Amino acid sequence: MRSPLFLAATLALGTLAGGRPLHAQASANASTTVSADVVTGLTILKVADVEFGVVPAGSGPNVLLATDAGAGRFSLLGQPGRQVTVTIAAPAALMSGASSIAYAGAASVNENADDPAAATPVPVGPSFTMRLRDPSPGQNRRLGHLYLHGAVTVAPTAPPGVYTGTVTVTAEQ
Amino acid sequence: MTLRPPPSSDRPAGRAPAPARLAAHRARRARRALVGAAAGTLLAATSVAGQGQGNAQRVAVSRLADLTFGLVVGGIPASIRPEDPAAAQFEVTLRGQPPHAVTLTLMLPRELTSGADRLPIHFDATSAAWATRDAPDARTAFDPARGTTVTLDQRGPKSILVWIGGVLEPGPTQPSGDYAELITITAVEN
Repeated sequence: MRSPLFLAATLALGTLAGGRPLHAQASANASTTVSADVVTGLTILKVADVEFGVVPAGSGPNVLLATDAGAGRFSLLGQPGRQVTVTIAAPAALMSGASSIAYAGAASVNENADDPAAATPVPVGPSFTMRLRDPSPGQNRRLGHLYLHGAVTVAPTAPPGVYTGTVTVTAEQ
Repeated sequence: MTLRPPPSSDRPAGRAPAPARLAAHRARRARRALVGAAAGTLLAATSVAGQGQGNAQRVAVSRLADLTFGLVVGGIPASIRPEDPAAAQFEVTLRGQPPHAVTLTLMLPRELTSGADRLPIHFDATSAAWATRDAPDARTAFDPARGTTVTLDQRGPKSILVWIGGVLEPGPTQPSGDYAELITITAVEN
């Protein structure tokens, strides 16, 4: 038969072990992927199409601004400091089968930041030049920004439908 | 877009090793690039499955986001800070009795690869940061090359978040391509 003193000592040891369990060192690991897409030369990226949305027959001009959500966006990537020549070719009309509505293209550029509110108007049709600026921190992957907008005018007799056209942007350095 | 996978430590044993997952990542990205070109839309890289293993589940590490530089122009350094949304993110979860002291160490690449091409990457003294899960804005910067030790007190949180950025240095004649490599973080509870 164990003495009361022996039992008390046993309980005390059990409490100590339970208060801070003895254990082996624990570890875990995980991996993540670092990735980058390197581009060289001059690259144009289409960021967004031009979307006028729903326009009623017999209305116009229905103006879309560079700051509107439906404005088209392109980004130019290339060596900073280079001057590039840009040409925007836009149709005079958007088509839906044999039907058409008038489109007056407009464009603007921002050489410094992706900010359409501070963009400068540029011509549609004739070529113009812009310079790719040194990127500021956090903006090193977009060196020039081009916004497409304009207006559509819809005749009262225009049939309902989806009218589309293609705007082509080319750049040379 | 970054897809968040389930916690790494919940993944079954016998998963593919890291190099195989990196190869699979590249194959998936190549397929996505073809789709993006056809649609005329640029797609951001999505994340890949994480890797994790724990000792009796007392410490677990989950990868929440990859370090994604996206498009980089040759000749222009590209930097991602830990507070940038494009930074890699891990969560370290500790179980059992507090207090906890956990040491974080990282295996960092010196360059990303695309076939035989190499793209230098470096990390500076503030390229990584950690914070507790319940106070993610109270970040402490650390050098990922040196690692750090985090001590969580008796009544504090048992989960910490870790962010990792970095700096790419593509040369002016850097070949274009899809570059990738792995970062591995190890958490050891002391």
